[in-house]
Amino acid sequence: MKRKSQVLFLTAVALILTSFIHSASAYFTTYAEARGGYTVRLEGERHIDEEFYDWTKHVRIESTGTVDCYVRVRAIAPTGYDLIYSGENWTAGGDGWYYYRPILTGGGITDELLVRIENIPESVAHGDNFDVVVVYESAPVQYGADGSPLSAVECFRAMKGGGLS
Amino acid sequence: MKTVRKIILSPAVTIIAFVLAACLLLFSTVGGARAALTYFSETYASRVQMYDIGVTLIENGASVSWRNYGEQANGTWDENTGELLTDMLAEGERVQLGKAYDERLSVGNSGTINQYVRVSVYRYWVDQDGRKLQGLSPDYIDLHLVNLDSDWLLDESATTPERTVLYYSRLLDSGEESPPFSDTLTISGGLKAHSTETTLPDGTVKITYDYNGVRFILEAKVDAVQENNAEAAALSAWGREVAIDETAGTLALR
Repeated sequence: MKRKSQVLFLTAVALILTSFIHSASAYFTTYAEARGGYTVRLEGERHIDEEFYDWTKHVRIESTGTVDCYVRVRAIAPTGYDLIYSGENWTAGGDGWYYYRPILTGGGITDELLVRIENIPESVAHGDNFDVVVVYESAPVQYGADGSPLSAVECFRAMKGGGLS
Repeated sequence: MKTVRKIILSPAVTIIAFVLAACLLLFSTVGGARAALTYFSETYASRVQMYDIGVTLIENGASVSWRNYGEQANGTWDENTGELLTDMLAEGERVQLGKAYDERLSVGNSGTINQYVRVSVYRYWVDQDGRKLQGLSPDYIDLHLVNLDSDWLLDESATTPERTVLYYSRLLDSGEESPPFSDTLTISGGLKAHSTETTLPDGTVKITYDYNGVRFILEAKVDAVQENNAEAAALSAWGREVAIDETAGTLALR
């Protein structure tokens, strides 16, 4: 009987204490999230078509990739031979390179660039070695913040670490 | 001592204790019952104010994702998880490297209580199967942040090359939209430098870019906590110590 009274008393005290327990601390929180993105396509392939007659190299460059690009060309001749460049839409960059101004899109081909060799000695005979090497480079088109394309010179400068983004 | 023990164990004290416990338990619930009676009264035009929290991520003026506590306060949420950048490109348009695309991101308080908010922005690259590419740089995904220091605080301790964490420095009132924390997104042309050239037998030069065929991802997550006891709420929900000036309604990082 005594033990039963003790149990009852302790139960009553426990119930009283229960009423003083504060509700567990909880805070109003919420969140929202979203994501998105696009795939970047950068596929570059260029082919150079080169013919030589009348002491002139006839150069065209074709782009078969999907990346819009600019191209530039320079020719290297033995010392003493001058090279004269000409061709629609080709301009001298002042750095030894000739730049094709329009953007070359996938499947596009440049206008012809003529590289004429001057000061040919009269003593040159058929079969003599005479190397004029044409090299070219391409640079993907980059765009300014407003979406307009940068110039060919700017794009090559950026590609070579000139600081454009 | 013996007398005290005798009193405690007497049936009368035990009964009184039970009655007291019953009364306390009863009164602890009577508030809710009273509210319910008021609500259903036919003679009183009662007004029940629900304290609902809700937040919305806004992109270029349009709500993209939100999560608002249900108006019935019955444990349900009105929520939507949208997609970012859906209007960035026109149909068939490609990503133009270097171009700054509009990407004004802000936060709206779509709940009925004021709140403090923070934003976590993630930038990364994934392959065609959606796997994250750790070797590609998030730096080329340039989300231009604005209103730093004045409205948004950069948490440098939580920021990594991939993640940027920002805290709105003021209390965001119910129905209010924050100033934007970004204005443009640019995929930098610098990624083109990561390429290799191969000359094929026919003289064709093939250029292979490391970033060709990969997908950039911009992800933003907004977290909100209640105005009341916000310091503790932020610490509990975000794990971040912040200093709240309740009078001025401002938040500072500690």
